Amino acid sequence: MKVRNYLRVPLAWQMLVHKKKRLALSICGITFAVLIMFMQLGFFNGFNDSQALMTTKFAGDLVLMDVRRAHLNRWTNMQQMRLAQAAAFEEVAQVIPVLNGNFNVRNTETGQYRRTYALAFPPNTNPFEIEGLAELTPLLTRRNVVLFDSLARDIYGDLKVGQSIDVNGHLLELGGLFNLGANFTNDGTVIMSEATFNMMVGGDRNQVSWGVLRLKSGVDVERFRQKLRDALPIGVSILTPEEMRSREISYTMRKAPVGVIFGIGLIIGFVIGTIICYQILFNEITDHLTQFATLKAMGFSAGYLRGVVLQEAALLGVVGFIPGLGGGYLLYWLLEDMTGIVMFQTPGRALIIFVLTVIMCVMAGFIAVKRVVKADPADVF
Amino acid sequence: MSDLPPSSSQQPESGQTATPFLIAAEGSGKIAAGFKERPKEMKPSIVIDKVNHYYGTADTRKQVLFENQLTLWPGEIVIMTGPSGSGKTTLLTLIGGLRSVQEGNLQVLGKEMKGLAPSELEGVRSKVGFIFQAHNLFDSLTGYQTMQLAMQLHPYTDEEFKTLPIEMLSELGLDDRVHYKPENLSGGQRQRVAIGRALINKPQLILADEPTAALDKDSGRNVVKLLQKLAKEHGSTILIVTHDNRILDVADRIVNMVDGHVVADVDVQESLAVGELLQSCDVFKDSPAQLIAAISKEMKREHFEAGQEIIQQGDSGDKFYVIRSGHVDVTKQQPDGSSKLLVKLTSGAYFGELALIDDAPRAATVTATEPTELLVLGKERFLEAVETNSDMVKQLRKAYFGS
Repeated sequence: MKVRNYLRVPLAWQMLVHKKKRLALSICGITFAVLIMFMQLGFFNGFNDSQALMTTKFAGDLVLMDVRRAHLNRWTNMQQMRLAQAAAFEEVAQVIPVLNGNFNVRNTETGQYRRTYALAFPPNTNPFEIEGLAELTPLLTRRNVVLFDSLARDIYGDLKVGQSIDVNGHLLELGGLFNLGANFTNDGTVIMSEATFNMMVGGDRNQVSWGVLRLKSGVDVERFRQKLRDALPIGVSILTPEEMRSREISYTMRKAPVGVIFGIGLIIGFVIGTIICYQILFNEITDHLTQFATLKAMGFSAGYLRGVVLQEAALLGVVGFIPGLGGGYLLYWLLEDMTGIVMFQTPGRALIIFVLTVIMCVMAGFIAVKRVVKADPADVF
Repeated sequence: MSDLPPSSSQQPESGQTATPFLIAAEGSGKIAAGFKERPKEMKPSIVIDKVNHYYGTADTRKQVLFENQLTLWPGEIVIMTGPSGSGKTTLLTLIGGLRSVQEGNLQVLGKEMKGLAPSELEGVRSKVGFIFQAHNLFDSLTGYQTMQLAMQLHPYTDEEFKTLPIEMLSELGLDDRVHYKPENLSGGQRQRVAIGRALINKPQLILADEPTAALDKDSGRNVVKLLQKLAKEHGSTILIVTHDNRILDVADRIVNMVDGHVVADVDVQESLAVGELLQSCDVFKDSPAQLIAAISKEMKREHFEAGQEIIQQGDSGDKFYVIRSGHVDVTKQQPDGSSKLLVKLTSGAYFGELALIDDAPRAATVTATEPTELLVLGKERFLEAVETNSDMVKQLRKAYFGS
């Protein structure tokens, strides 16, 4: 069958790969922009996610807290009595009180005290899903035993399991290490029993930071929350761990300027990429202006020429993204290793960068294509 | 005393079948040797009628084309010459639909070009094969891909997409260079690829601007010969703008432009035939060949219907005539008022020279007896040609006046 096939010759691709040196330089340019965007988005997400890291570790259906505790680092406590009220419901399987505070842990080598995030809960319970913690919780039945984060930033010296650890001037025993991770506000985390915690802060104040509620199987969480809501005073918030996480992230984004900083960084990366891509396409078009004008003289429409340039732009984006992705992962790995802050690269976030890269190149294509459309076929003669 | 030498009415007819364009003129059944005639149903590929063109606006407005008239026919190779800035290229871009027509009428392949929308111009362009001074090939495409790129403009089968490029490149002598990119081809080979690109869609019209400018003598000739061969095979019209004298011989017609005017439109074959005809006339027997060639290009065609009078006895003569096709009767008014038929003349014969040489009134009346085409030369030019040979004039006088 005779058909008019405007895609028979992959002109855009041929033009792109014809000059290897130029292609390599072009890919470097795009890769550079992709890396900038990866870093900024990585920092942005790494910051938000690591700030909210703790919320993802709550192992319960609902978490109770004082309504003023709007984020993880607000210290307003709640009456322990509220937990007893919640426990009275037959739907509730278990209620675990959790305490938190900031203690000073001494570096074994320098002797300096470092501020450390502290969590505490009753022995033989485990309100968290922290890697390596479940096996260690029986140790907490002993007084003066604490657990420490193996992924804490490297500022505590050489802490060894079974040896003593200085917390707020008390010499305690390091019972074991769990894997949690640091963030921008907490360098490390120490976990202890409720009793040890109260000993450190000087007595039981009948107050708790959070209450982790586990419901019996088959109980509708939403319906029970309503029931609990009606029973408890308005000063108590009842959230799922997922709600805590999104609240934490939106708080961080709203309140912490870093989100804005990295957001602007991302935009700058995008703009730099657009400029680089435009420059590449501009050179490509300038070098082939007579050829493009010739195509016009031959009867090709402006739409076809526009298509060639935009195709080339999109291809440039795809070709430049691949090494950018590899480089991005490498840099993430290096940064995680150096800072202990997890960058939380996910396929979805890589996809965001990919889409941004293609948009970036196609935008540059749209700017550059004007030159092609203006190419006057009468000038070829 | 006759107005014509006795020998000239008998022209040999053997040359009539030598050219495929030699088709008998309507009615006459006869045309002078070497002349061509187009079939009646043939439509011109390009008709340029009173085309004016201007560059710039208001104060800087400058006219570059003036009232141009030109008609090109299928199968013709037309070479356009003229100094740079004479408007050749402007005319070419107008014909190719690369510029919009401002004034006058321009018909290309049966389509009126004035006032066409851009998309319609694209349609016309896709029916035209363009060959440029520079090859303008994409350095990233092989010859094969270049052909396919051009083919994208028209519907083809998958099979044709694969085979036609190879066939075309083979015809161009590039069968061993099918998958080479321009960087691995010589200048001549690149230009041949560019020609292939122009010809692959078998356009009815090919426009070439200095196609040989970037080539050495041999490659230039090859390229033009190829163009001629392929174009004749496809029956296309080819218009070549060039300064290259080496390729003039392939032309069927040579159009000369000066300062935006078409100053000469010479049908090469026609003028060659005219030249031969003139050379066979006694009056020009000893005139230099160059002068004959020059004169033959200047002769204008005039058409007379049956019964129309060409020369009136007693008038003062100012033109010399050669019969291109048709028949005329030469009659002389007798003192008694009756008219006597002196002779019947047919194609290849000439008349009217006597009055010019002798500066005397016409000695007889000449009337067309059927639709007749005459080639006409002005008196001054005629005398110039004749007087270069004073012996000839003397002989003529002797022959005619017996002195």
